[in-house]
Amino acid sequence: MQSQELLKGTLKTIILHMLDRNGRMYGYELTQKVRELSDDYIQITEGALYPTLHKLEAEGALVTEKEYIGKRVRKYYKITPGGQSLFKERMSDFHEFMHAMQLVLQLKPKQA
Amino acid sequence: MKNLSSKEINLVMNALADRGISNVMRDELTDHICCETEALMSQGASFDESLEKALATFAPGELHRINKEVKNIYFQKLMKRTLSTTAGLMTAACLILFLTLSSFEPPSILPVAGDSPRISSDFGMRRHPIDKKMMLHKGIDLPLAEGTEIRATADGIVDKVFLEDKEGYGIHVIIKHDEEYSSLYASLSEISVAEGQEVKKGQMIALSGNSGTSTAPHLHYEVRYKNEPVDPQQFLK
Repeated sequence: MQSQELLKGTLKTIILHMLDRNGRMYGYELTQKVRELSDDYIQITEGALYPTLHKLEAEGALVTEKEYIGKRVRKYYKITPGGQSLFKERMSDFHEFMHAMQLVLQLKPKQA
Repeated sequence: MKNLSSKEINLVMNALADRGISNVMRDELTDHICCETEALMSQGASFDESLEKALATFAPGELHRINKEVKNIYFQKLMKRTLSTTAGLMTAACLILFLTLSSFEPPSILPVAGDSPRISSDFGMRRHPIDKKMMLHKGIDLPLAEGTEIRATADGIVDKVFLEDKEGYGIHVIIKHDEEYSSLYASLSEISVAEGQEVKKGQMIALSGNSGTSTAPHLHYEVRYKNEPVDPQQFLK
């Protein structure tokens, strides 16, 4: 289980990346995909996920589509062009941050 | 992969309602908890165990906190938009009033009085009784003697009155309850309210009949959420 503190600053970037790559996705699907991709390391809690999704939607980075599956309503999230440029910005910020952290903490790549 | 039945989905919704989840988050969290429950059931656990586990992934009070946080996001967004104009100030004041005072609940009673009347056709996919094609039955049917009193299932305003058949609904009336919910009463013989009129939950609005595409006297009753038909039975208390 990863530190929620560390995840907090990158959650938006992760969500934007997933949606940019996979087209539309729904909440549960997002948590499962991220978990799979990170070898079970990153487990996004619902408590972090939904408020972040709604914030991104309020900022215009995402739009939603609803689909009825029998009695259930599934809400899909899709990235907007605005969301894509936000994602690019966040990615380059993150790269720079990673690079700086490597220098500061003198990190070495993890041995496989 | 296991798929939850309507009954099981209702149990999930009830569990969320017990935890104080409002309209804003209901659909999303229902789907999320359903998915999680299904995944656990696919590993061999019973429905009850799986639901309990799925709900336990939330710390106590967590669901309520998410709900509140998301509500705030919407509130701020609305405030920002409305405050940008002077006239918007008034709207903002109304909005605050509305958000604090309103606790609208979807239509929660059946449109006829009496103890649990029979439902002859549920909401969902079915073979159409006349066309014989598979299609969505957008509401529920209650077999009723012609002239049975029909009542509004929640407070609202009469949106539309149709005294002639349209799309097979026969004589029918639509009541708007709020920005999201409306209800429709079809195959009627008589309507006793007018467009624009305010109605109260339980108020008599029409008499049942056999008009429109109908094989026997009955009431066709629909609840619509954002103009999409949903199962009226999920809201019954």
